[in-house]
Amino acid sequence: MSDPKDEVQNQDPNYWRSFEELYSDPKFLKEINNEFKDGADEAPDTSKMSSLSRRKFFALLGASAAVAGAACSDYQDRGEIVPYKDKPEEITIGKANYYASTCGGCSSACGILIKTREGRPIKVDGNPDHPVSRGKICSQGQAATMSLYDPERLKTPRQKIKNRFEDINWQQADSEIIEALSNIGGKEIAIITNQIISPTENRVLKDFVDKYTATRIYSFEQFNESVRNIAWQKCYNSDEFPIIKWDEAEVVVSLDSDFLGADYNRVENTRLFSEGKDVINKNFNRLYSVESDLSLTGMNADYRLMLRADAQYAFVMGIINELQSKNVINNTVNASSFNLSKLAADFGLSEKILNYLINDLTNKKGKAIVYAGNHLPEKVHIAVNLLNEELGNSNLYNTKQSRITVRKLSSLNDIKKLADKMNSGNVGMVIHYGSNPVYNFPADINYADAIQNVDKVITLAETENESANVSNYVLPINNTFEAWGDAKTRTGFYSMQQPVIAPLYSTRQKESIILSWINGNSDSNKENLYHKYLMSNWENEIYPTLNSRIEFKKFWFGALHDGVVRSNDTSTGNGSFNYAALSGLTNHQNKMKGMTVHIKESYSLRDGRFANNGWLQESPHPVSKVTWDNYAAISTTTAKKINVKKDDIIEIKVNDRLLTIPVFVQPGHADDSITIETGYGRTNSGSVSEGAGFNANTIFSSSGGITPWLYEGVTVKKLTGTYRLVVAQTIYDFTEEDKKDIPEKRGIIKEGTVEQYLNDPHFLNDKKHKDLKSVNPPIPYDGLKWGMSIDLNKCLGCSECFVACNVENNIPVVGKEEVDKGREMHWLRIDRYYSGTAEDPKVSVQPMLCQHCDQAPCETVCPVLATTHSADGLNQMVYNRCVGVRYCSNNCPYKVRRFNFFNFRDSFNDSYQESPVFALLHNPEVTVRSRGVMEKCTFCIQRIAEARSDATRESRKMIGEDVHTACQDACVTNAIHFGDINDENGELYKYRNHELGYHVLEELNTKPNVTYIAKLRNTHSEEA
Amino acid sequence: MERKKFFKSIGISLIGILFVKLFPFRLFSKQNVNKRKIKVHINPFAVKRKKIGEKNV
Repeated sequence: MSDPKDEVQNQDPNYWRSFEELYSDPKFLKEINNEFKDGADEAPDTSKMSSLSRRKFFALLGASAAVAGAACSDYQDRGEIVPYKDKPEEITIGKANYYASTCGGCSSACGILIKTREGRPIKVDGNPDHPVSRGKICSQGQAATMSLYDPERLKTPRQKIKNRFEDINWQQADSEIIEALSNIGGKEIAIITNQIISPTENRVLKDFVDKYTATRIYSFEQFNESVRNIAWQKCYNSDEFPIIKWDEAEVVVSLDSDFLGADYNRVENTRLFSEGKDVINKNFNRLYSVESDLSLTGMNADYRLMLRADAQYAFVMGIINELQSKNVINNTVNASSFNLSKLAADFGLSEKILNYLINDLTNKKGKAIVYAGNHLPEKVHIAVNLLNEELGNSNLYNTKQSRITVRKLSSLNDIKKLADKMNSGNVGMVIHYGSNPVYNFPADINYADAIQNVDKVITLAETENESANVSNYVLPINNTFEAWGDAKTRTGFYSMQQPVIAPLYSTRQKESIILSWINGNSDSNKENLYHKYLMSNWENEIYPTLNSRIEFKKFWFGALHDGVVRSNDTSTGNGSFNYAALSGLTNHQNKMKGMTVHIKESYSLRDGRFANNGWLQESPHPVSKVTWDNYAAISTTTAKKINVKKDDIIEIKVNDRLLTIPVFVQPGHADDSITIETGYGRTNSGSVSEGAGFNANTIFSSSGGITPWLYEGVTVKKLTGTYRLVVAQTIYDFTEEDKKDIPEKRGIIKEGTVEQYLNDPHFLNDKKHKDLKSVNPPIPYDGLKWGMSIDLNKCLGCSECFVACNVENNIPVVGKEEVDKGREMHWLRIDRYYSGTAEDPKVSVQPMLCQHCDQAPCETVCPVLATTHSADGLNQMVYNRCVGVRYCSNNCPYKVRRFNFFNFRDSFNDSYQESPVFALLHNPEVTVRSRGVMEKCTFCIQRIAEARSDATRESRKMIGEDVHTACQDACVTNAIHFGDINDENGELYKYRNHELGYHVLEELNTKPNVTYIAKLRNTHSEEA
Repeated sequence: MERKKFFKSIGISLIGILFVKLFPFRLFSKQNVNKRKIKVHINPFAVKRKKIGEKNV
């Protein structure tokens, strides 16, 4: 008998984007008839106007004009343009320089390529030579330039005197700290760091410990793989979990894991996984996702089951039991209490999908991988390791390369002991070495209180933070772009980091600060102190192990040039499975206690270190599309149970800790389960992050949970009041009239199954519109004509392209209130559609940008011809002609045009973006738009122009492959292709003319030049 | 008499505009809190790339 839920899913999908749309909320229906949201376009109330006479009006007008003329006549000079007297050799005016380096955003240490113009970094992309990133980088890396030019960066050392911070100089700070270090007595010196990935930095810290023997180093990351690694150690007697060969997996079973989204190493994971979504080579993998919240990984799953996190152990043991009973795997563990059918009945899981999963694991032995989330308990990881071992899936563990830990992370026990020592007065000095423990440490440790008992607290940071606020000294450190470094995260290579700009302020590299304290002399710090140390360490310790045939100086230049140095160390391998580890697996199913709470790393802000980055704050959440805030995500059923709806405020009680946070009802979320992202609710961390979201770390605890990130037995209470969560998605919805035709005519999302496609590659043809008539004769584009294709199979909806576009095109941050009015300025947006039921939807994503239509409806309505069409197929925008009537935006069916209602650089956050240092962030090739003009995607016309001038200079014809748009470069999965649609040998041609290719709103006959490749779900043939 | 009045009012308005230009607007104009110029220096020890990788423009 077929599952009713499956029947709904298999019907012709009705796509919806929010509950208001799905349930035809009357207020929503009224709102969508308007082009602009309430408040954005209000008509003036004439009855409230004054009854001024015409004569008086003109008199006042004249006088105002005269006064304004007087005021504006004193035009302030914006600055000087000073030509080079002696041009630096490195700089060619108008041409960019590129430097290889390493991203410092997280411990993945991806290789990056930094683009600089006239000496200042303006864009970050991946280093194509780096074996991990392979030319790609995550959105935090893309947005890193904003952190460099943050006007609120610390500029000088500061000392707290009588509860107020005052600026001091480095000599004074160093002398006082060195004196305090020398007089520490028997007390401990605690250095608290993030994960140390640099061997040279590690050596600096060791030297410090040698000099000041009372020092202990605590290395802490709020989100880490410690539980996974402990389980791995028990199973394989090896310290590090292996790297997975996602590209070779035909079946992936993700158990509450967001390996494509927020988890560690996502750039490489995503790149490798997407190789199994290849419509050209017809290579399709299958992803099962069994998860509590709807994650980015779950959005892209072929099959998805909703299951609360504390039931994952029962689930994986149920799979083991099922496979053992079918003799697919050996009987190595007693799992008889766990029955998948019973689990399906208890949690409403689809038995059909469970059967598919079992069959796939059986039939794809050695070519499947089961992967558990970092936050799940140790026994789940042990069970998963056993399952992979027994199924032969250990083939997919990379044996040629393994991870390396330069310095092991401290355990939560170590952190607790530190706090105890502080409370008992045994710690004389604490140094926050680039870390923020007041914000990131577990709340039950009460670190902020413990630190009051420490004599001297020093924070080394780029910006103000919660830890700096409780310190005696706050010392400003260099940004990643201003700092030297190296990184060792894997066998086989080192990553190099070099500064591309000298420090903008009176900051120092944090390693240099430590070195001058080791030297015991405040004058010992020179600008290149750490550079010399780094080179010396490499020359004496690392270079000799590389067996290089060239002399060190040449080698060093080569290393900095490439950004990567290959090394001879090889993987240690994995060893054999230790079945004694299975003693930790019980044959007992725990009863579910109350609700669970899962604390997760934010997609944009990570653990909060990027909270003051406006681009990342304004970046919509990939699933919910909420900006500027976090929330408690719950299911529709749970929302009904506790009688809450979106924006209602709830109080979550975890043991004895409380968190007040607004609710977001998330389709596809598991029942009795809450997911909250951290990184928000920052204080003392900059004006951009102030007031954004809620601090979920108040319930982050070192004990009392299943793991530090997962808690059960949680109670929820509804409070009075609401908090507006701004969703950047439901702005451009269809009217009631259009919605009736959506399944038939408005094929915005076209999908199928792999089976359908393999049986009939042209199955989409009957849905395509042919022979569309037009009053305009077609324009022949015989030469180069620009076009783009976006492969929806590879597109995960991760928003890397979105952030890259913001950086490349000087897109301003507008703030929460303006996003609420639909005024965000993003040229590229990722539309997310649900289909099916609200409780268990399927998800489709679609990047939407200017389609550069051949018959663009926007071009014909502009009264001043500010929007025109180029000979190579681009829809152009002439900012200085635009008078702001907004008719073009009104006429655009894709709603991709963005209007500057304000000069957002001036209006957002008290002219934060008008600061002189912020101006250095801008790409000089792209106009910075002001109030009153329309803007939109230009297909990176500045890159096209540069390629054209290069081709002209080289006396050759320009080809499509000469240009990569910013979004194309950033896309980790290579879903975006750009080029000449007329070039049959070009990469774009096969996508433009692919049988799965279609255009959005094709029936309108706008002739768009963006081709979307229809998404194929790799579901079983019964569902085709 | 009318002509005298006319030129008198023109003169007063010119003086008024001069006064307004010199005082109130400058007094209340937005002061750039941080007029400090940010100097950009290249790090001389950094090594730039010749090849920028696959088709990066």
